[in-house]
Amino acid sequence: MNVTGDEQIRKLVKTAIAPSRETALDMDLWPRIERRLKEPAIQVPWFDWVLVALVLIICLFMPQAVPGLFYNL
Amino acid sequence: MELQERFAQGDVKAFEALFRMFQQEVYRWIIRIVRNPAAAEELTVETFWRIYRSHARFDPARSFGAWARRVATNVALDYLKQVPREVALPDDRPQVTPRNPAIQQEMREKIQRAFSHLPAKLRVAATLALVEETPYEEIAESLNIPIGTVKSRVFRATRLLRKKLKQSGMEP
Repeated sequence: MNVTGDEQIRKLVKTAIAPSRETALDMDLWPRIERRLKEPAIQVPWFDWVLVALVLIICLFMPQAVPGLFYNL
Repeated sequence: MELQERFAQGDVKAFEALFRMFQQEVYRWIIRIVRNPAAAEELTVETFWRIYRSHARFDPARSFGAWARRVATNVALDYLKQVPREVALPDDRPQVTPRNPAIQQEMREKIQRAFSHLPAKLRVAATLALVEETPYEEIAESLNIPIGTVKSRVFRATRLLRKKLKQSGMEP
């Protein structure tokens, strides 16, 4: 493969694919951003926190259960 | 206090002001990469959303525009990795009175298909450098990589295209 071949590919690409036209946004996108800003952040249900606490307690008082826990993950 | 400093502290009004200053620029940059106006709109929103969420990481002493463009490039890159590769590219090239229009059309389609099958990173570099003729420095800055890496990606894209075209029976 030579440089001339690569140059030819570049020319082919230019003839086959048009550059994007200078387009302007015809609408204001701020309302969409605002909607996202107002969306409540994802909340973790209390039940999940209880589960996490249980797992931590088990790991703390029964360290021998840790490998079994990892095995089941 | 400066607008950028207020934004870095999470001021929504400052963010809105910056959004209004840069939304067109970001949109035009994204459309250069994804070449689809509807997707570009959605990705512009996603870009500014990511910008807002990482306001604390923004250094007010640096250019907001350059940072926004970097985030936009990453958002566009993520999009290109997800969408199916057979996306039709706009065909608004001026016709150059070909000797055989059917062959010309077939050749164009093969090149477009081969181009759309390039890995996303190579495609972004090749689109910006070869199609949009964006300066390498600008591409490097927006991709947050050295100029040498941009050149190497364009080179690899060219070589891959050559290989793909050869496989499809076209001998460039």
